[in-house]
Amino acid sequence: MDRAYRLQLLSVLANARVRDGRILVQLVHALSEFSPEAAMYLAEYGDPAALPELSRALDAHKLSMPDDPSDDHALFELREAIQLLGGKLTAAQRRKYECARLARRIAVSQRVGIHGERSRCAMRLWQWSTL
Amino acid sequence: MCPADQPPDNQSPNFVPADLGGGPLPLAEEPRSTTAQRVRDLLLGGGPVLPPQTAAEILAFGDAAVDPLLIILVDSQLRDPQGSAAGWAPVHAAQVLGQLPCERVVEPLLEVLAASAPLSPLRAAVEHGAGAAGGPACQSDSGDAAGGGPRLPAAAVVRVSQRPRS
Repeated sequence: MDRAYRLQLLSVLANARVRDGRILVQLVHALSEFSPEAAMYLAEYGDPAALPELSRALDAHKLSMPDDPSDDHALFELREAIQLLGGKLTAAQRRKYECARLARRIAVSQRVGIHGERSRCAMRLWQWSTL
Repeated sequence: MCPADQPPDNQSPNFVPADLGGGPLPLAEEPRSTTAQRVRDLLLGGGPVLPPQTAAEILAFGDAAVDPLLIILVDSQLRDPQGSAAGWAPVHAAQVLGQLPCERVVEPLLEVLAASAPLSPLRAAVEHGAGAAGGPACQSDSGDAAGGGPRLPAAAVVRVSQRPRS
């Protein structure tokens, strides 16, 4: 519940329509604790000053294992926040994002049993990972 | 009788000024007090889930609900899982406040956040060390996004130390 409480506080701060450096600090600190949510709140807060921290968080994100890409939710949110704030991904970040996206597609197609899709995605993932 | 002591034409000569010392609340304060009590009753009487109709009733009070919500939000005793609403009242207060954007919520929230998440000894040491060094806390290898921006040391330093080695 403490987690829910803190997330609500951060959400209220992010959407209070007040631009205050202390809010930015709290939201950025939260990136290490609640990455996906903090990335969303930073996007809602709307200050491009968060871009370097979002970019660092994306660099620091470790891709999850291909058979369980669920941990990559943070990566998708970080990428979304960077783009919403007007930033651009570096080439390495784009590659990381594509890997995560393909891993997610493989996982989904495994779940729904689309084997052709699965093998195409697996091939592209292999190609990306060997770049 | 001096003319200044005479009551105005439209006032009864028997008019007695209200006693403001410790009596019942002045009329203007009464609705606000009622709102505060109602907001408190609604939130403390609930459980882990905030029913939409409860949220709607509180939101209908508008700006008058902000202060009562803030009082619940910052009351650390209400966060006790053994207490009223199983400790969920402050969470719900924050949730409702989020739909009543208001500048004056910022200061109390920042104080609560600072108090509810004190720096761990490691983070405090890192923050202190980074401050003493005087330089940037970390450098990004992420090209164009690695420019200026606020200096946000502790979390960033900890994250950088966790960066995968290539």
